[in-house]
Amino acid sequence: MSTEVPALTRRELTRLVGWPRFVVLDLRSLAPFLRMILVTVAVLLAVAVIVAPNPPTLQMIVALGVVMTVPANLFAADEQAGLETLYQLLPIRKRTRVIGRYATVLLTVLIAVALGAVAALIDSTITREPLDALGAGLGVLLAASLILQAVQLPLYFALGYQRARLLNMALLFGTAAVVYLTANHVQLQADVAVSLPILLSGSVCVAVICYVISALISYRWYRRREF
Amino acid sequence: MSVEYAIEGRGVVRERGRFRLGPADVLLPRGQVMGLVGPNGSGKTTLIKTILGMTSIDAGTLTVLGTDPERAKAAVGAVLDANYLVPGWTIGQATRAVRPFYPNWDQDYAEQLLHQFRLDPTALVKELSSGEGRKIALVLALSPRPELAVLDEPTSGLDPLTREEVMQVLRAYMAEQDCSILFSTHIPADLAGVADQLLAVRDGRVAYAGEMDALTEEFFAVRGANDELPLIRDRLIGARSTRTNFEAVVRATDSGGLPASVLVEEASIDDVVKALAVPVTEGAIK
Repeated sequence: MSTEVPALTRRELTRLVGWPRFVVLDLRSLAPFLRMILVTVAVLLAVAVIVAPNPPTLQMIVALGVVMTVPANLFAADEQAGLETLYQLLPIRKRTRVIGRYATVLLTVLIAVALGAVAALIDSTITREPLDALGAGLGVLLAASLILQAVQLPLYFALGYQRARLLNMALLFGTAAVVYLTANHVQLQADVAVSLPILLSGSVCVAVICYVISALISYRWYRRREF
Repeated sequence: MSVEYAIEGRGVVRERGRFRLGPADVLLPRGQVMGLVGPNGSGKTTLIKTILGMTSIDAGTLTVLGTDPERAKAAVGAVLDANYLVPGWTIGQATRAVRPFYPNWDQDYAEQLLHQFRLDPTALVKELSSGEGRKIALVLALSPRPELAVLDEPTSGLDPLTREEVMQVLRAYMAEQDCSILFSTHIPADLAGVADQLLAVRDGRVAYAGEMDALTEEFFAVRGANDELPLIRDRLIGARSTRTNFEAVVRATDSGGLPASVLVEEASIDDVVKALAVPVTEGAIK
């Protein structure tokens, strides 16, 4: 009996360390907030349609808006519902939690970027404005979203939602200001013949590297955090 | 023959700010139930968190089910004195969220417990009473069929009927499963006939660690007039006083030389547990 227990525990842990289980838990924890998330996305879409001078800008506002707001709900639920306590009771290691959360956020980023593209396509169809650089926009937005999250996530892991959200709010406004100031520049970019494969692969590669480094930093900080 | 321990902590120290727990020895033999008592703020929850691997220890050694607490989690069920389920979840969603993490999860048993506790799987967590909240926490803790259950005040704030329901489930679980239980409580009656071991902590230090049956040999009950209190207060544990008289317990080793007017008699387990569980100065005349 005594020799069986640690062996069994190890085998069970090997089965359980899979971060996909944590992603599923993350998605389940978001389920009660689904209506609020849909309202947020709808408001973002409405604002983007009103503010954006052209489809690429609309694409940018929608994608970045969703990326900047939705993942924060995961950390809000951790604190407000006491899920951090649940995570500590469950047989999942902190490393698994970090990897799982980064995977959930990556999923959100992909959905946000796709949503931005769909919104831009619809806008382009309705307004008959050209949308030449949709592919480039996808790549750049994917990269930008990953880099934004690479900055945000370690703060959430290190400080928790309440304390990190002010810092991240400042980041949101900073990003919005940059988007506003570069809106016309985006139009110019769309007119210029950009080497699409280089732009896409280069920006996405850099972003993925940033995202991985961010995950490592998050783990280091989160490992030391006690509740 | 060496004893196998479900929890084996030696010289465990945990410091946080001004609070210091330990050094504490925590030895729970496999298959036994240990009651954990102590006043609020004495370190019970801190100790439980170290056993669950939720906080690290600053000194000493601690193993749970023969391994480190983090690794043992798959075989440990826990009830904490906190909310840790999404309020918007239904009871059914909560069980479905937790279940995938435990390979030994017994769904039939989970459903049996839900039925026994009259918990509706479609009820929202945020609409549960505190008693129902304790019950669902217990369902989630026992359904993985843990080898060790760590329960932080599972009966706290429950009405007598609900408390008895919870205790019945725990007794039944112990009867059918060869498991160990660490059970913190403020209610001495919870431990009667259930606990084999008692660990009492006061001000972060272990006041008693040993078998429940040995309590009556280690402590005596004392009663007397409040006039005697100033002289002997340092020896008393859990002194409670009325306007004229006090009652408390003393260690057998401290019982010599007490004033003749102080009545010293054999203590019941209930007397000792009650005294160990109340704050040092509760009811004592200033």
